[in-house]
Amino acid sequence: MSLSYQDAYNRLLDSREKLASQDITVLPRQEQIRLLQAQQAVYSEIQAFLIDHMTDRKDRFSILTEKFRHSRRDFQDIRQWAVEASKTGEMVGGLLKGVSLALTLL
Amino acid sequence: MTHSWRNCLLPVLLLFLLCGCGVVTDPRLVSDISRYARSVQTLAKILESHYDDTEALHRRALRDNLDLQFELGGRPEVNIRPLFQPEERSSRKALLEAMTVYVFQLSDALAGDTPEGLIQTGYQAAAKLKNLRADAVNLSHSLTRFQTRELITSLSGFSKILLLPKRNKALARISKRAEPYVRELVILFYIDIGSSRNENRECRYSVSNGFDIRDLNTLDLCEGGLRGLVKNAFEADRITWQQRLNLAMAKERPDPSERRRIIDRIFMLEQARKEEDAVLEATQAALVAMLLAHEALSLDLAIQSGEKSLSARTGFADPVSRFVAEVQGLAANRISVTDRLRSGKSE
Repeated sequence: MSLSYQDAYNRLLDSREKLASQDITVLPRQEQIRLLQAQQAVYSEIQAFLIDHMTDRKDRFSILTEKFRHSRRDFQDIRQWAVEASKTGEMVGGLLKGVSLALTLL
Repeated sequence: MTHSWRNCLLPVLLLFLLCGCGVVTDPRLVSDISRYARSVQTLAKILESHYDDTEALHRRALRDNLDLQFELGGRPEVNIRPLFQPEERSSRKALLEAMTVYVFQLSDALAGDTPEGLIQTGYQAAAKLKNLRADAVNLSHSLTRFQTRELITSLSGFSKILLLPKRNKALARISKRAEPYVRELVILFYIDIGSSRNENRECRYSVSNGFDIRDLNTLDLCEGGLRGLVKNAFEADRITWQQRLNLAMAKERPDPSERRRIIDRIFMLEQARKEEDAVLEATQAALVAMLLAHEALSLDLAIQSGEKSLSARTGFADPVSRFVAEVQGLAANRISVTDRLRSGKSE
């Protein structure tokens, strides 16, 4: 558990609650606009805080992607075997053709 | 050699080969892996859409605040920056694509030649050989190019039968090696989706590489991730609409229809918030089901290849069907949250 994460996040949420509890109707027009600006700023800070803790994992996504991509080589081996099997088929086909035609001459 | 003896030779040989231990591929396994691959693909698209929806909700929250500022006579700067940088979105998308490619390669490799298909091909080979003898009665005939190609195709299928045990062992090895990758992918996205509340006083927002997904019950995430972002976006929007309602009621002559419209909007936001959180939670459940299904398939491949015995299977649960059902449920109920909100767009 990271106490600092909870503390920092809770402080931001407290700011949001304090601003939300302000009665906008008693404020002069300019102060109403400032209140909305402050709420927008606090909201952006809250989201930036959460994003920071998500995006520090970017490297783990990239590293894992490479691991999946490496497994493609194993599938290439299987495809290669299938190609060789086809070639074997061609070779056997050639032999059989030769043998069968020869048999008909007998 | 008599005709009838020759007619039986190839099919008997095929049956002998195919009935060998570890050669016959269980058609149920082929079907399971195919269904699994398609469901992974669908889940990947759903995951992508969650990030899109979170961005849309974020934009809406900021826009509604800016709208009210403009209405009050303010001149705010309109600068709505996205939550995620492009490289953060693309790194997640790349991982989902890599997983999708992997499962489809697994499915294609296994389903390429079913036993039924190969037996059929073998029979065709036997028939072609018969025809060859018949055609060669007239010595002036030779095999046409088409006949040659057909014969080779039939015989290729025959030789692929011999390839099956090697292929099955390789697939068992590949899926076993991929297990920790799938596990880590599930953990990464599970935590990325996060939680809409602190699940414990001693909660955490990240886990180390060695975390076991089976310990999810003890994970206790802090509020955060997509669920946290979505919750905050809805809350910011609700606060703005509450301000609107207060201002509307403070007018000399409050308009009842305007009041009702705003109240309806606030109710709708709360409903949409709950629904979106439920969908995100269900997506987390689908991720865990995806991992369990992969483990089951990996075990089945090991049994198929002869590396493990049937007794290795425990319980009667069908993790693949469960995963498929969870994804189908998500897809069926998937209405974009922006579509839900569009029904009562902010005026």
